Amino acid sequence: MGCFNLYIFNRQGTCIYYHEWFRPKSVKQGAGTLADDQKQMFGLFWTLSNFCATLDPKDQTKPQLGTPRKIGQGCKFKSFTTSSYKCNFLEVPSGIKLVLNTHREAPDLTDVLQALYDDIFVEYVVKNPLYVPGQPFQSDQFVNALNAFLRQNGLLQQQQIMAAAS
Amino acid sequence: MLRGGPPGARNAPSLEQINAEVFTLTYGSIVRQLISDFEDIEEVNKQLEQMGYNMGIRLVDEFLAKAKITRCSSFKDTAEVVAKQALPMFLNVSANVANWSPDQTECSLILTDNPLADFVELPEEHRDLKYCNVLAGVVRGALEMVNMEVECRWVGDMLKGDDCYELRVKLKEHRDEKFPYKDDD
Amino acid sequence: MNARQTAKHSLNIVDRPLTKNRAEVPTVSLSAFAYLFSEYIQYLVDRANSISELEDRLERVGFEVGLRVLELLSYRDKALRRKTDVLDILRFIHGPAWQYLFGKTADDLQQAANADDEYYIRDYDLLISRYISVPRSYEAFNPGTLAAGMMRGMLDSAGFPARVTAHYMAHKDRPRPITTFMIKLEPSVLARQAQMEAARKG
Repeated sequence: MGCFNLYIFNRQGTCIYYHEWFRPKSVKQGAGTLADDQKQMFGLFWTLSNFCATLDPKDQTKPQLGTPRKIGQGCKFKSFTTSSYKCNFLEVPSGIKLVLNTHREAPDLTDVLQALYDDIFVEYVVKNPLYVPGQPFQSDQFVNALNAFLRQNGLLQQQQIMAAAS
Repeated sequence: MLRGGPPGARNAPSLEQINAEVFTLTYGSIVRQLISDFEDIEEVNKQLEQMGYNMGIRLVDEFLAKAKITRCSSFKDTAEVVAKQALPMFLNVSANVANWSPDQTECSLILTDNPLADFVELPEEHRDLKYCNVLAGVVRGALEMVNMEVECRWVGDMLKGDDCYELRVKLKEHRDEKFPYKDDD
Repeated sequence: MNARQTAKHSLNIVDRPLTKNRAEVPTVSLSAFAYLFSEYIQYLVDRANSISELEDRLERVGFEVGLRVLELLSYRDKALRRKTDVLDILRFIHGPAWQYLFGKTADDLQQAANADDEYYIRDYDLLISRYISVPRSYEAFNPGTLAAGMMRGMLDSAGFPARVTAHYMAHKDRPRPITTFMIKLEPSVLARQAQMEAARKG
């Protein structure tokens, strides 16, 4: 199993971190620029979250499509699967949003994304005094920890990514 | 490594610990430096609040991660979480939430034990110093990160002879998430 | 030595019940300390004109803490008599005082090979530097300066004025750099020490 890429967004919708392990279709062929690519990704899960909450058959509050919401209000959109890849999503109460695109066969990664936030993002980014909350960051320590973490969880096996992509 | 804390903090996940007196004395020394930097006590109060705010917007993520909190639904619940989980986790003390306003938008965090202010006596010339104002800033900063805009002010201060520390927290706005881009962006 | 001696400071220490044993030492999270410490460094970075000014101010915060820590410890522990020998006070700082401050004793204590007035204390993993990294432009800055200040405060409070500086040393087998504290005693201390030894010899 493998990961394609990871986006971390702040509360304002700015992508504060982007990492790519394997992306045969370049950004240029898609959105054009990385900034547009990130904006599209944000729009994708924003809209999906909104639709998911509106169409929730169990929610008694019946929110209308497009009505403003508090962070975490309504049911939570967690992932979608296509015939090519799987998009895994997590939003935490401080508004930080993680998107991890993986191989389509990936299992439920809710706990993995939560652990990525709890143990990797918080420990290596938030606790680093150089990090300005909500601002884009670069950190070798974080990348190393991130790679080790995903490898531990069987999510960085290059061979399988290649196979999955073909 | 030092571990532990008061019995009330038993449920808090155990973070690595440091001697509370070292923390208290360091804070005291920082406050003294601010007093000599600014001279005007009102400026010191402001600076302490600002430093707390900067700490709050950072520590909220560690708190949410360690306390395994996945939702901050209402202001009422959030106030309880601050009093019963966040304060014990970081400072090994807990607070009571009391004196709710009828419309549930204002409450008090009440502390009788406050590691920031151990060993402290406020001299007469610094009567207007809000010694613990860093905590007011931390609460404001942390709650802003969960989209709750609050105003915090001290209405009780044991250093000024009150029975307890009472931080009044007023919810000004519980913000909605906004789509940050225009449609044609 | 009496805690009341500090009344000259604007915010003073008041008596506190003696702590009976180490397990009862109240604690707070290291995170709370680290957020406060980082924020204070940021405050200084915004104001100080140079790294040495930044370090001076941090050292002063540590110095005040050190003064009070030694007062507290000697006030609580009556057996802890005023130390008159340099090595005694250094051993005390390296051992029980460091244990009190940082939950562990320091790692090495040695005298400089060719200077009577110089000593080194090392900590392989200084607690207060653990979450602190500094901006590239501040690479020469060492956050352990706070602990150097504490050390100088304790020495000063015990009657051994000295200069203490903190230095990082990378070590290939360790993930974090070692902090070395260099203690240079003031000439008056050595003169007094010599007098005492002369008196002892009669």
